[in-house]
Amino acid sequence: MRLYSASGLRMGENEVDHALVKRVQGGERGAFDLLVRKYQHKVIGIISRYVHDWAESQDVAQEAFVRAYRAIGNFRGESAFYTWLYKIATNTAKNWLVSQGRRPPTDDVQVDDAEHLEAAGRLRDSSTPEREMVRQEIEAAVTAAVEALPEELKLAITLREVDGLSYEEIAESMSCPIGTVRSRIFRAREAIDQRIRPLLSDTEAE
Amino acid sequence: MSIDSKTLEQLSALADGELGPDETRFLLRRLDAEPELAARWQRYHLARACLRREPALLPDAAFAAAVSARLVDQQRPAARRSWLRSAAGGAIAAGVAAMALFSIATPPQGDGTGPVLSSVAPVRTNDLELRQPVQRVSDRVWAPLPVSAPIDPQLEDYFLRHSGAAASAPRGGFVPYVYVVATPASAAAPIPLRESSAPPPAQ
Amino acid sequence: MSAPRLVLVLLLGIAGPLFAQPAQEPAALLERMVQALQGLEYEGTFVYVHDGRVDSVHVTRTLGPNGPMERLVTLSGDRREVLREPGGLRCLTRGGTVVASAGAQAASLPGRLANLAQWREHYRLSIAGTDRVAGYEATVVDAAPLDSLRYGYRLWLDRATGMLLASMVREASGAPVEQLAFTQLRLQQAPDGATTATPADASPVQPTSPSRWRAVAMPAGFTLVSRVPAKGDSEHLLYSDGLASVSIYVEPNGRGLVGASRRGAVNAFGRAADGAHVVVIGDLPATTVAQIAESVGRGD
Repeated sequence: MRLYSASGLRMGENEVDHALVKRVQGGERGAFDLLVRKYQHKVIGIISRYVHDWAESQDVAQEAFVRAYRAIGNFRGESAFYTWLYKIATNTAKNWLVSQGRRPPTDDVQVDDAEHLEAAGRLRDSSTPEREMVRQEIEAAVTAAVEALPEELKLAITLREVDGLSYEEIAESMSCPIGTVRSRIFRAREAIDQRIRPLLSDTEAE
Repeated sequence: MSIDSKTLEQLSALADGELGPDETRFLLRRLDAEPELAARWQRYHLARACLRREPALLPDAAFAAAVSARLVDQQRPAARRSWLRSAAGGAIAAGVAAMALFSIATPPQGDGTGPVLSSVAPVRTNDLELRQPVQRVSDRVWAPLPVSAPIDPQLEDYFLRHSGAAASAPRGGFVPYVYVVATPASAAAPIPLRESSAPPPAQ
Repeated sequence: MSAPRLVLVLLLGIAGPLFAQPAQEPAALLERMVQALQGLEYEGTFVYVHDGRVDSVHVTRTLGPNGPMERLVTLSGDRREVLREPGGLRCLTRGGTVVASAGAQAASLPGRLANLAQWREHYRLSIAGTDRVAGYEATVVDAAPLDSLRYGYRLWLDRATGMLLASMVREASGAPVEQLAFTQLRLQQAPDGATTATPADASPVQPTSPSRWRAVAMPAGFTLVSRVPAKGDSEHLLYSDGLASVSIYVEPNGRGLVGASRRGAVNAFGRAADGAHVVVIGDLPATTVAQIAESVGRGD
């Protein structure tokens, strides 16, 4: 039996989100960082549908997460966290579009900011095709890494990530203990991680 | 050094919602001390998005850190923080490169123990001069970069294959690949060959 | 177990790794460098000074069950990138244009070039002193060539792991040819179950079938270590003297580089010979590379 929430996420993942939200509500900012890192790809994906400029989409996505953080006290867990975050992200993007309509984009540029903005503009112009290239490279690397896995690791990670099965369901279908499933999925993730880590480390490393 | 694989396996299980509450508590406590854990968590989810063919986009490398910084101090103007951050990083890298150039291209003052990359005692003054004459340092640093030699696909191919083969040499690992990415020497700098048809050296 | 003995055991257990003197014999240090370059994961930025300019390069190396993966990206000048994955090797420029690529075999030759005996025959090894590079304490090893046919190397090696932190390649006269130094570096032990491609066997291999091509003027000490698989009638022979390595390419119907080309310490020379095109590439002085290329011909 598969348990899906309204947003299509498996219940287990949703429970992780709720556990993390509780910790944020209890004052642990580090737990919010995990939520940001988990959903940043998707949130930027949503926002870039509204905001086409790369640097601006980054700013708006930051703003969406900041708003989510401020509002997280009101999150009661009736819906999936991602559904809630999705609404905030689309609202932030729409608000931003409205504000752009009312205000010329250059009106608040200070003289001493001009140089920075110019530099940012150059980066922005040149970065998008490379980002697309990196994204494609990462997808190719993930696919190649999964292809190269031993059969039992490949099956375990596919059942987990693509089919969304729980460890218990995977253990049943592969006739092995749950601990083995956990270890196989971890080893598969590490093999994928080894391939994508070099592609992501770059000049902008933190 | 590296995080033990037991901890990483817990992180992987957490991503699947399959980690018990006690283990979760323990793992979250380690997050602050181990930035690599958060980075791995991020990549695990990126890989998941790829496997699920989700419409995800790659954020700036410093995106999560930028959000985190804004949560600490929400009063600060936030626009383009992540871009300024990466631009500053580039400036630092360029600064380091310029310093390195300065150290090597400038003959040391006085006793020859000036700031050089190689501060080991036996370095002599003439070690510090590049084999090819260079312009004055100020010209080198601020002049536009010279146009690099046109790419010769076949030669690139030879360099690449040689690097792949030499990667298992003693000076191996990443070193042979340096010659693949390094800017090719300008075509304007021909190599004087003393005697290209010299007799073979004694075996 | 009595209490004092337990204390002693604990002390020994702690003292071992902390106070063990790193090997101080230069050849042993070089061997550690070979192990570290192949067996560690690392991520960092280095400057590379060559040919009258400075490149800044970011490098990442990771290890996994299917072998190492490496990526080098230039941070200065034109963007160039080299990507070595278990499946092959690629060189890319801005926008992802592939400049050159090679298959899996070229990217995964087993490590077998290191040869201690050769180091001692053609280089004088010594310890030049200590230094600090990218925050790491370094021991500096000199390998001075015993003739003018090859370069000398000064290598800055991390005291704890043996990792190469900086290097200077010099002519036999002492004039520097290129210099490389990390400005920032992170080192990690290999994860469990990773394949590191650490040189296990230091003896040169005997190719299964001999090549018909010979380089008569190959300097003493260079032995054929590999006949790299190549397309069709093409040949790729790899020679090494234990520190330097040189490739000879023979393309029966090829054309291409005529004369010399250089990138830092690596020189290339191409010419037509016996109805084929010959290109020689290696970290040897330009004159040596040209000599080798001029002497290549059919051996039969």
